[in-house]
Amino acid sequence: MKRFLITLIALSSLSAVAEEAVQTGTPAVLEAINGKKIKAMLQRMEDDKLVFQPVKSTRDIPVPASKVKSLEFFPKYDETAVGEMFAAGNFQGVIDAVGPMMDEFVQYMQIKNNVRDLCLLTYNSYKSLNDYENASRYAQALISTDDEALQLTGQVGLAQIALAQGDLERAAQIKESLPSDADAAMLYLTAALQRAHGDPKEAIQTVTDIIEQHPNDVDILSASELLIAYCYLDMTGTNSVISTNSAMNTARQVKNMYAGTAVAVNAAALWTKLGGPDVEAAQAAEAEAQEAERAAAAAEAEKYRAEKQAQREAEKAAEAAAAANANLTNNVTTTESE
Amino acid sequence: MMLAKKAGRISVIRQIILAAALLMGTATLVKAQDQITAGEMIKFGMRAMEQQRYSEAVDWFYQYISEVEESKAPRVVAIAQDIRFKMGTILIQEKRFDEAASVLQDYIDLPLADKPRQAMKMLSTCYFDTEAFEECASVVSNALWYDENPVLEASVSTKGDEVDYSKVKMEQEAPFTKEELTSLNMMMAESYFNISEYRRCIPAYSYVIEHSLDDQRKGYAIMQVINALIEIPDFDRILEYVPQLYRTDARYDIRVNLALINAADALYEEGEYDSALPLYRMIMPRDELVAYQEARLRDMKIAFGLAPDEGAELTEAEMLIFGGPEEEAAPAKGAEGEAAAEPEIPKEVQQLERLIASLKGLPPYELNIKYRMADLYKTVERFWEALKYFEVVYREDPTTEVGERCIYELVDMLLENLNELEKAEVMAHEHMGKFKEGMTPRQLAYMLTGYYQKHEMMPTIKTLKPYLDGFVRTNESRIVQYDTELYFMQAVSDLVGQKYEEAEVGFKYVLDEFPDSHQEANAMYWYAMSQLFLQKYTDGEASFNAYIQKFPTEQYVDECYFQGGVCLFGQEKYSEAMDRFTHVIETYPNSSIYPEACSMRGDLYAAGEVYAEYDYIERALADYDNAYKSATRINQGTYATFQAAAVYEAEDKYDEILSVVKRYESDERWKGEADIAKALFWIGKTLIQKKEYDEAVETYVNAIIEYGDDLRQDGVDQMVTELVKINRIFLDTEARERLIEELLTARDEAKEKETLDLRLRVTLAKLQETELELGAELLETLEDLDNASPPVLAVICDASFEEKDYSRAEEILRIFINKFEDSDFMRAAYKLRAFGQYQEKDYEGVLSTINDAQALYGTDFDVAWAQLLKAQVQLDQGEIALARESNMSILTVPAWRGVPVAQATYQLGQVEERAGNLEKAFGFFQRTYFQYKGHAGGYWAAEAYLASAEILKKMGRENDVRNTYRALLFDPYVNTLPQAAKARAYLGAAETAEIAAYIDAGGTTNFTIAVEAEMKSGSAPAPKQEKAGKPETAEESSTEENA
Repeated sequence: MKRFLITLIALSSLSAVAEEAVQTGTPAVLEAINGKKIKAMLQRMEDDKLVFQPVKSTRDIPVPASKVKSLEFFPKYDETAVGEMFAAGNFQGVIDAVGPMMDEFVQYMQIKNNVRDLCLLTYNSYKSLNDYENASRYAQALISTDDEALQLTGQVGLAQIALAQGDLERAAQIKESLPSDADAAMLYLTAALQRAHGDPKEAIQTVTDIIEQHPNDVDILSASELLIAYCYLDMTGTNSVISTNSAMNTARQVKNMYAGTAVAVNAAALWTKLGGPDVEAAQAAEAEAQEAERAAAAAEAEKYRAEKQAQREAEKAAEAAAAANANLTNNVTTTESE
Repeated sequence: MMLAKKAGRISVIRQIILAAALLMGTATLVKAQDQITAGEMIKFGMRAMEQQRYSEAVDWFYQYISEVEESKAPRVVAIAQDIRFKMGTILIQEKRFDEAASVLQDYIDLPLADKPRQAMKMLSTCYFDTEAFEECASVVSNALWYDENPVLEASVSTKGDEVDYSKVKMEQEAPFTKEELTSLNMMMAESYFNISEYRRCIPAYSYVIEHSLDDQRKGYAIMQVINALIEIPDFDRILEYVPQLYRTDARYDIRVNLALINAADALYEEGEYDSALPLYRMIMPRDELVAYQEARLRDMKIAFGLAPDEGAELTEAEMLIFGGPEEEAAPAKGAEGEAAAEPEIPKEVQQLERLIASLKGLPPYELNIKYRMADLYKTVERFWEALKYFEVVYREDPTTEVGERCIYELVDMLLENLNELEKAEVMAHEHMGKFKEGMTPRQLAYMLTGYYQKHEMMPTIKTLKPYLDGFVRTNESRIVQYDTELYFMQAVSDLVGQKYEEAEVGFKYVLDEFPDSHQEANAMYWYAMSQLFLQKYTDGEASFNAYIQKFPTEQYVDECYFQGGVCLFGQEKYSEAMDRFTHVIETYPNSSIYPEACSMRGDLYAAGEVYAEYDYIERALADYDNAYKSATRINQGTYATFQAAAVYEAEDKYDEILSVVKRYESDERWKGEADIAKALFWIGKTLIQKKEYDEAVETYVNAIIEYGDDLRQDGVDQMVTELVKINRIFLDTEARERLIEELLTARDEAKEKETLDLRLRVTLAKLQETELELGAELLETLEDLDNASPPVLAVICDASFEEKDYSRAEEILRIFINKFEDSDFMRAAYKLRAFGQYQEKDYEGVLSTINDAQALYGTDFDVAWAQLLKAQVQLDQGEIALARESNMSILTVPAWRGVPVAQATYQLGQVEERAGNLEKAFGFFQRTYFQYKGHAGGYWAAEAYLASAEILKKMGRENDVRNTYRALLFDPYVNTLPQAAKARAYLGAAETAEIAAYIDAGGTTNFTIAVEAEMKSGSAPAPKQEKAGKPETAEESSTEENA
């Protein structure tokens, strides 16, 4: 009996070891809609079902995504460093740092989770790197969420990718499929299509409607304003009245106003390409020269004043000396006469 | 120092209160002084506190503190501290902040305080609420420092009388929560900001920005940082915060909005446009903000259990809480039937009410903000965005100062920065049409005028005239100045458009309507010039003289002397003209018209009339040489050169021609501008004179190929004519074939050069005498005439005329006028146009075209058609006398002898026939077929025969009719012409055959048909005809036939 028990224990230990050894998946805390939380190893999404294994179990359990309130992942990355890389336009650095990890998470985006912001960051990085395949994948993930803002970002992103790939028809289709209340996004895509059809003037006027009507829709506005910069650039070729200054100044403003976003980084790249830093340096040098000139003039004026003052004082001193001398002479004379 | 003062002040207050309590307190209290123990004081105080009799509670506590103040027993000290803390709480609740501050300060300063953090927090609130910002900042600073470096454990020890309370064991106070830390930092930031410690407030605000979970609070903190940075000033850092502000929901906060306006304005004034722009964008329209905040206030009131605003419609839920209107109407009663006390309005509600009121009190700011945004966009050259906002503001209120500035900016940008003329015109016309007073409509008209002028659209300036006429005039000097300028430019437009009569009227208008204006001298000069162009030489001379007299020092005085000379020349006062030019030459050697004066005097010398001495040619050439040397403009150099060449040609001095032409050709002054083709034309001419035909042909062919694709090189067209001449006169067959071969080869190489190709085709057609065919082909195929040079257009005109196709007549003439006004080939275009108009019975048009043609070409041989057509039009209009006069005038012009006179004679017959003078008419027709049968292939003679027959028919002289037709058939000049068919038809086959047989047999006729009256007319002496040796037999008879 004892031996039997030992055997059983040994077998069960082996089984446990075997189970622990083979369990794979994405570790996460799963919160059901009833508030119950369990640690799980996420396996995959199958249609609208999340398949997971409880920890220390290899049994796949499918659960409708709608029954899952949220997921908490355990991303391992240096948040500050990634943020800095993104702000500095080092999109490849961002992908290197979080891409493989996000590739694991991205399929679960339709369920509320703690890495959606990171997903957005990754999407923007892929898009900025013109890696349209991955950007599209992430855009689709954003669309799958229940967050309207993210959905819109994904839709607009897909349309932007279609435009970048020259598929205007698809971009137009996406535009038509936008929610009816997404006015700003609709206008933005209209403008982008107008530009793609070679009508930057029309496009720019459409974007001015966004600026006027949706001044605080920051996400669409930033992309719209960058689009304006490109429209101005397009117009330099066809209309000699418009100079690159318009494009450069617009890019500079986008870079400054939307600092920290991918759009700002791209605007900064355009601004640099158009010679913005040189212009700024020249302006700074000019201002410095003017300041130096002003300072020199002030110093000169001060010197002149000082000289005049010294001269006046010398004259006064001379007068005083003369007067004193005269007094002395008088006194001496008086004394002598006395 | 400030803190010390404050503490002193609070201490005084406390003593006063204590004294009041002791001296003026209730009887119970006074009595209690002697009888009540410290413990009872606490007990009474606590009870009063529980029963919410806070004032009484505070009094008891003050007494207690006073009682135990001197005690050093730890327990008593600890209890007293606890009481102080409670007092602080109550006093704050009672809004007795000064007292609370004093008590709390004691609490903090004295030992055994177990809630020092909370006490400091409360103390800071007291200071903040009493606007003691310096003290507040200090206390918060201490609180935060304390939170970072707390005394975690304390105990007490006694050394003699000294008690060390730091060693008393105490329960640990919890550190500040995140929310408390945020609030404390906010209070500190606000305090520093309020005492203008802008640099010190920024870290505290930054803490709030980083940690606050409330978007509005975060937004407000960002806004305050921006304001602080403006105050410092440190504009560069502002941009760090703008994107953050953008991402908060602070835009609905009134304080943020007000701060946004101030900050954006400050940045705008400082020229910090990149920072100002996003701030302006974030500002919400006032009405929208008020509506939002009023709804929030309403919610807030409901949440505090207050009734929403009076007059506001209640929602269902509100009715449930506050009752319906009936219940509202009944006064609220207390338990005893007394009117219930007004509920106290919470501080938040009061604050929001104040903010809403201040927002409402602001004047509307939206338009101003939009205007500034537009201006910002314009400054950074984002013109389309600027346009949008300027237009929005303008549409909102076009009549205010801002609105007017907007329309000005709009039109200015559309014209200068966007080159959107059409839109600019629409906007400007709309404004000018609606608003006819003041400066703005004039400024718009002025801008458009300037644009048209700059872009060589001078005729379009006239489109502004109806608007100018609609403007309300004033005596305001600047407006008068604008009006003067605008009307002046109207006249200039007419002048440039060669509408000299309108220009004359226009300049006169400026002179009459705006006397002593800034444009008076210029208007007078151009008025005189208009008269000169109209060949009103006498008027022009007077006007130029008037200018000289009135403005002897103005800029055009030298021009006036010169142009006055031209007027004298025009009046054929050559001697005076020469004196005038001499005056200019001697007085204004540095003037821009000096070369022209030299050339003009050179022309006078060359004519050899005014000055007929032996050296007149030398003098002319000397003047041309001076003109050339002093020329500053290409046309001055060109004129002097080729005039000199013409003089040399008359003198057969071909080497000299070569010399002046070569000098011109290689002159650096005209590099790229010189009329090289014309120079080569003259070189070719010289070669012809030297009988070097092959070289001349080579020169011309090479020049045509090299310069022929440039439409402006009219020398090429002259060469074409010259080449045709050489070909016809000097070249042998072989050379001719070679020339055609060369031109064909050149054509092959000129496929892409349409102008050259067309010139070559015309040259070939002229050489091969196929111009009409080419003209017909081009008329059919050449849709765009932009690349057609004058000879090409002339060929098309000739073919059109031949085919009576006038469809392109107007277009071609317009091209000539606009592009080749000096071209000699334009004659063909005038002719085509005039006949086209005649066909359309546009008699006014015909006469106008004829006038223009005659003004240009006078009585040149090939312009006789103009006078003939004029006479015909006059006849059609029933102007018999004028028609007679016009036809008669043709007979007197030597250059028109021949065909024109034949036609004129025939037309005179028509005139007399129309006038009913049949005899006279017959005389003119008879004269035509007697005298001019050899002209125009016998056409007019044949027509005259037929016309004569018709007249005779009308006169009932059938026999003479028959004889006339017979004479026609016997006349070898006309009997093969189409008109002869009519005679054959009249005479019949037998008689016609008989005449033919007679002619074949070598017979001739001698018909004489005479009409008595014509011999008497005097105006048209009818010649007698003697034909084939037959003596004239009829004198008085009607007609007689001798067959």
